[in-house]
Amino acid sequence: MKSFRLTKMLLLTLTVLFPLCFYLIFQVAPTERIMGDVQRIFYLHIALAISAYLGFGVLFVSSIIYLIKKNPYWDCLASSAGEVGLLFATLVLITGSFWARPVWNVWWTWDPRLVSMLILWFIYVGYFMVRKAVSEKSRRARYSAIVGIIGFLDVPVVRLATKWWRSIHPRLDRQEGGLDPLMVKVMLVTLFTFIVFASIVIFIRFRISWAEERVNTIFNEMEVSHG
Amino acid sequence: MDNLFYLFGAYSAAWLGVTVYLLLNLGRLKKIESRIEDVDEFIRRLNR
Repeated sequence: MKSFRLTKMLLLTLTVLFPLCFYLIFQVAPTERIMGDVQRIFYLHIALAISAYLGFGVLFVSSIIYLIKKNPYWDCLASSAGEVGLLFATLVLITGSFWARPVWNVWWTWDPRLVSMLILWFIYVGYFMVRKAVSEKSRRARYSAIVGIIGFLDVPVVRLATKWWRSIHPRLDRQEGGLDPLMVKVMLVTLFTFIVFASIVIFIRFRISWAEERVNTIFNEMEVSHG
Repeated sequence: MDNLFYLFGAYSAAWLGVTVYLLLNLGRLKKIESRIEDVDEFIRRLNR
């Protein structure tokens, strides 16, 4: 029943909220004076970034709860959220490159924001490498929880990189006169849509992962008891 | 106008990434469904 409701919510997001976002981004939001139409990548880029932080945030909290309770349920939730977070972080880097090329004339530059985001990406790739490398379940969960908790410390560094160091990356609070109010509204709608979407994807991934975990446990128990 | 390549490139890449991920999970779901059927079959055979 829960899965059916989740699928319905996913379909609703894909068929109603996303087309609405596209309409707002491409038809309603004003064209930026200097960058032109390519600035519309901003709405997607920022929504993907916040969704990635959401995934890493869920991983962080679930990892702490796992270390306290030692319940595999939380380890499962942590890895599912981390996977979705890593997907969105990858897309942040890709869409950022597509934005940087026409605006900065390069696909990549060693800017503090970009570098800290790349480090964050490598940390979570490392998280999944730890999970692959350790075969014993409880040890794997414990080690990866520690990596997940330490790795999350880079999230505030990514957010504050443009404040702490000299950076060419745009900062919402530094733009002259701020964002156009219509741009802010479009950004908020897009952000809401992506947060809903990311939450549903995390939950669906978690349910698949948890079902796998339980079925594997039943299989192992059956093999032990019946040979 | 030439900037539109980058604009649509970014949106296409993002949607391609999300679609591939959702399809991968659909594959995982089918795999777990077939394993659940195996367990179901095993239990039925035990009860016979």
